[in-house]
Order: sequence, then structure tokens, then C-alpha cells
Amino acid sequence: MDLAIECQKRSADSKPNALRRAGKIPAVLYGHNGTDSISLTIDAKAAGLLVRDASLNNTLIQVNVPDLPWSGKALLREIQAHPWKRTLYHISFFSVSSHEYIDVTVPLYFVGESIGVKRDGGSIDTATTELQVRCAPNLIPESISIDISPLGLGESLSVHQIPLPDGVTALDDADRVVVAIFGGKAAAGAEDGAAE
Amino acid sequence: MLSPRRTKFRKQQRGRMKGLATRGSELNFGDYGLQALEPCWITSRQIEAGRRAMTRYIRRGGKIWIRIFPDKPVTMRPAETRMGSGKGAPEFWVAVVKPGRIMFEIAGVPEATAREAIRLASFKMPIKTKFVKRESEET
Repeated sequence: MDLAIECQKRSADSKPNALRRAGKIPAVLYGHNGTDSISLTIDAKAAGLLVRDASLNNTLIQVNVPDLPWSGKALLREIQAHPWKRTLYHISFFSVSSHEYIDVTVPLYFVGESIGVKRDGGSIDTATTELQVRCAPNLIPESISIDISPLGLGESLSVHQIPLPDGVTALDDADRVVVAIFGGKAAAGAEDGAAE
Repeated sequence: MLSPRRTKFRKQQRGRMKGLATRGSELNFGDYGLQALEPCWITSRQIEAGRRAMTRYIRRGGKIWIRIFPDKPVTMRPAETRMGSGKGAPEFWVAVVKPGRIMFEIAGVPEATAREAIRLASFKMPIKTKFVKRESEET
């Protein structure tokens, strides 16, 4: 997915709430030059569209700042928003152009219906829905699909059993359980008694 | 019903519920959740009623997380007593909930089931609430 956004440089004396009232969102860009960071502003509408299409720590975005000699690819590192109205407060961009490898979060999608659920009436326990991986900026996977159909009752999948694309390595503990099938017809009776 | 095992002090002051929830306002465990839109004290009875409504509806399968804990004691004075003579006795426990707080989460059930279970739980709450789901939900 190719996304681009135009930003303007923000002066040091500008007030974030005044910017928000004027239809702009304060933002910051870092990682492009050591520990330096640049304060930016983005049009609120463009930022809303960007946040809708891009995912956090995963999608590469072309950031253009006309006031600066720099322009390059960046990741969305943090989005600050209202808890339920989802109106944006602030966006952080992390430049990846100067990095050989970066650490990103990739969402995990569980596909198929497990034997343990279908045949034995078990339940799926997804311990995590994201995976921390290290890869080159141009190799960031959008998502990782995991086929859980062969999983029987009492079985689980760990991080080292997840099929990863070439050039991508998992950073999480290799023995960490990602998904497990628990319960079942035998355990259900005992559970009912305890729940009520 | 939920309540603390032991506390350092038996009685607390009431406090204020200004602002929005900054912690616990994102789905962290399940795929679907119930989010508070108003500030309120949720009693342990209301939490238990919500949990029971959800558990009964989804029957087996799925997992439920309760993201709030009633750790604040509420005192009441006996009826028809004169003013004075100190603070009343602790009667029940409440969780202080601010707007944006995720109160319940569910995983391992289809969206339609989760929606209905959470709708039933929302009727047990004394505030306006909202059904929320994980943005990258695609199972």
C-alpha cells in the first residue's frame, strides 16, 4: 500500500489546541537524523484518511515536508486520539529511510476452523493478535495469516511455528504461545457448574 | 461478586470523576468490548449482572475479561439517624469509571454473538455505553 502525506513545519511558539481548532493536527517526525526531531502540522482531513488506511507501526508512508530539504518514508509510531470519538490529537512519524532493519508490529490473522473447535467443541484462546518482527523497511509484511485448522483440543501454536516471509525474523520469545485450543465437551460440564 | 480481599483503610472519601480514562481505554485482550461513555461508579452487583448476562448468552466457548475492579468502599448511614456521630458503615464496593474506559472484553465468538452479549450486558450498566471492536479484526 502506497500512502503519501504533505506536512508543514510547525513553529516552536504555535499552540497545539489553536492548531486543532484551525483544522490542523500537530505531528512529529523523528529517526531521520540521529536524535533530532521536527515538529510538523498536518491537515486534519488528510490525517483522518491516513489513519483510516494505514496501520500503526506497519504501513510505510511517504512524508513530504516542502519547508525542509528532507522527504522520505516513515512509519506511524503513535496516534493519540479521543477514546471513543476517535478525533485525532497528535501523530508521530518514525523515519525508516536511514535504517537497515526496523522493528515493527505485524497483525496476526487466524484462518480456518480448528478441529478442536469443530469436532470437540473447544474454544480458541488467542494469546496475542500481534507479533513483533525485525525486517528491512521494504519487506514489512502487512499481516501474517496462520492456519489453525490442524489444531486439535489441547494443542497450541508457538512463535517459532509461525510461517514468516523471507527476510523477516520474529523478536518475541520463540516458545511464547500465540494460539491454543482449550476446553471441550468433557470440560464444559464442570465449567457450567462453576459458572452459575 | 468482586471485592478486595483486604484493604489498608476501611473507608474512603468520595473523590471526583473529572476527565477521560487514559488507561484501559483500548481493547487489549479480546476482539470486542463495552466502552463507557459517561463517568460513573459501577457497583460490584452491576459488574456481576453484566458478566452473568454475557456468560448466559454465549453459553460455552469464548472468553470474557472484566477490565474494571470495584476497589472503592461506599459507606451509608442507617435510615432515620440524626446527623453527626461519624461516617457510616461500608455497604458496598464500586469501580470508578471514566468516559472511554473499556469495562468488558470478549473473544472467541462470532461478531453477532459478541454484539448481542455486550448489548445484554450494557442494559445492566447505569450509564451510556458503546460496542467497540478491534480495528484489525479479520478472523
